[in-house]
Amino acid sequence: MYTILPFNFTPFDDSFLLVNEAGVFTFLEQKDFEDFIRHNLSENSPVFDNLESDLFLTTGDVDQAIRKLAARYRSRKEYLRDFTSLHMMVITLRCNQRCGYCQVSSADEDSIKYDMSVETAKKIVDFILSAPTDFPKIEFQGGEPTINWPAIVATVESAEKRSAELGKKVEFVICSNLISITEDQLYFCKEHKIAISTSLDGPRNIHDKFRRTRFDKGTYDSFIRNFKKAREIVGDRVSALMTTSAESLNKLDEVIDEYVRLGMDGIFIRSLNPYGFAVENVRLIGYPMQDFTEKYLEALEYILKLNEQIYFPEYFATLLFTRMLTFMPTGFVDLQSPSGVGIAGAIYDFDGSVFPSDEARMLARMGDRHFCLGNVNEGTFKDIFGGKKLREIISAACVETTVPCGWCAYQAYCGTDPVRNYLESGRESRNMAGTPFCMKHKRIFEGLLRILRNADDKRKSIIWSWIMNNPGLAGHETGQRNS
Amino acid sequence: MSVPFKFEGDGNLGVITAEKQFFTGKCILDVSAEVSCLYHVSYDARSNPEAIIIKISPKDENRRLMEADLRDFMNKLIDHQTWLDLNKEFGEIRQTIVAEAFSPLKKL
Repeated sequence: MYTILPFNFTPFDDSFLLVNEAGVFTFLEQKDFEDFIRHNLSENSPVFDNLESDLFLTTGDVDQAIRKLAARYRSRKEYLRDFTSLHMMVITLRCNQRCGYCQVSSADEDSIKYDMSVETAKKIVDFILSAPTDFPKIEFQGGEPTINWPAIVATVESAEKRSAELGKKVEFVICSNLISITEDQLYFCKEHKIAISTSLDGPRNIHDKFRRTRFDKGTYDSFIRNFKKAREIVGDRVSALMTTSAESLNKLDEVIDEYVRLGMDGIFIRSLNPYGFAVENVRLIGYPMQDFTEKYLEALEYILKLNEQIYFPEYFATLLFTRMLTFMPTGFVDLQSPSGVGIAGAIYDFDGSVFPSDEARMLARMGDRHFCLGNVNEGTFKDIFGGKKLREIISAACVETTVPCGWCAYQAYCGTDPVRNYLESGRESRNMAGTPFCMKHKRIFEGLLRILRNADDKRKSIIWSWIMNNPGLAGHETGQRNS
Repeated sequence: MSVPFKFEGDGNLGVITAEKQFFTGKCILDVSAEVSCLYHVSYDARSNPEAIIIKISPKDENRRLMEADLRDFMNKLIDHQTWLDLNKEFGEIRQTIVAEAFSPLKKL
């Protein structure tokens, strides 16, 4: 006789998928599933031992089994311990580009009133360093942040000085299009170990479709020239992100090939977000989410095959495989529960206004300041981040109490986005069934689980090499990355 | 198969039957509050021991009440009751998780 432990389930292809509170999954044939839930499963059955060791059932002390589940659950949620560690500073709204899908809806290059002042930047530094985390990461965003270089310099120097006094270790990232970055700026990045995150949508024909200057010229050539210079000076702290548009959706293999050609360490295939210029231009650049998930899984298959030759992870799949196969904490602001808005990352606008996410700030730019938490000039970190507003946002952003996430088989792998919910429905918490957010993630979870279910040894070792960030596990020379 | 709503009077009064075994008073009140900007809402909780009878009519006298309006109201009841049930079952867990998420602030 056995006791069934908590789990969610769903029909999956020709069987049933079961996922428990610790995120462990298993597949059962229909007969075994029905025997299991009716307490008719024999202890001699081939599946019995796995169900017991994976904590879907117990023949022993129920309390002890629950404690084991709780320990694994706690391990998965460990990322909550650090509170807000990613702090994004909008150094300026000015930009030298006007990209078709920009969610920032940037300001003209000469609109200096949209620059963050050095005084505000220093005030934000004090604010960030008063947060509980000992390892804050400051990310400079814009517009194009390098246009307001004095504020970046002031922030870095102030943060380094203050963090040394407090015994904290601060990291920096600049999110730059690289179009007008100078050698002096790159050497400053090298000296202060500042990472650079840039944008590359693919080869020239794809990149130049939507990533244009304010004079409507393509930016690919300038980008490539400065990217190579950045890599020479700053080294491997220079990485790139892409955004999938209607132009690249059916050409993701070309995008991947371009990333490989340029020696990138991997790729994160991102879908469009419904903010800023992307909303205005949706007919030109958008696509149904169903199409994105189909193409994403095709691209993933392409990348997995590529990994038989070189180590080249897809980062979103890596995150989700980690959730499916381990108990390692995987905080990811855009897909976690409770949502990471505010408690994992926050953003400070050029005027010192504090928002729980960039999307919330974008909503403010579109005229709705619903998610503004306050201003660094008008409250302490504890006032703003421990205040009623953020607590209410987070309370509405737990999958456990969201319909139908509360009983979804993929709950352990998923998350929620109260800002997107609000944008699409007027409510921070909504019925997620049928929403693009739900559809996208559900289809991707299904696709990844199908890969795991059918994976041979070679593929399994590739997946584990991604999870452990160790090329050697897939038979590539340790230390060999795509270069 | 009978549906839990119908039209009465001049056809501009919608009558929705919300069975008590599925829907709580709180659910009905909350949904009614949400639509009260568009409709006049009234209840009869006594004449039928197994259901609450809800009557709605458009505030805008020039607007015709359609079957889709009643179906939408029914969907809102279902959505909201499910949300209430979920919060009742897992609300304490959610509170624990949120408290844990904000616990680092105690250091400050």
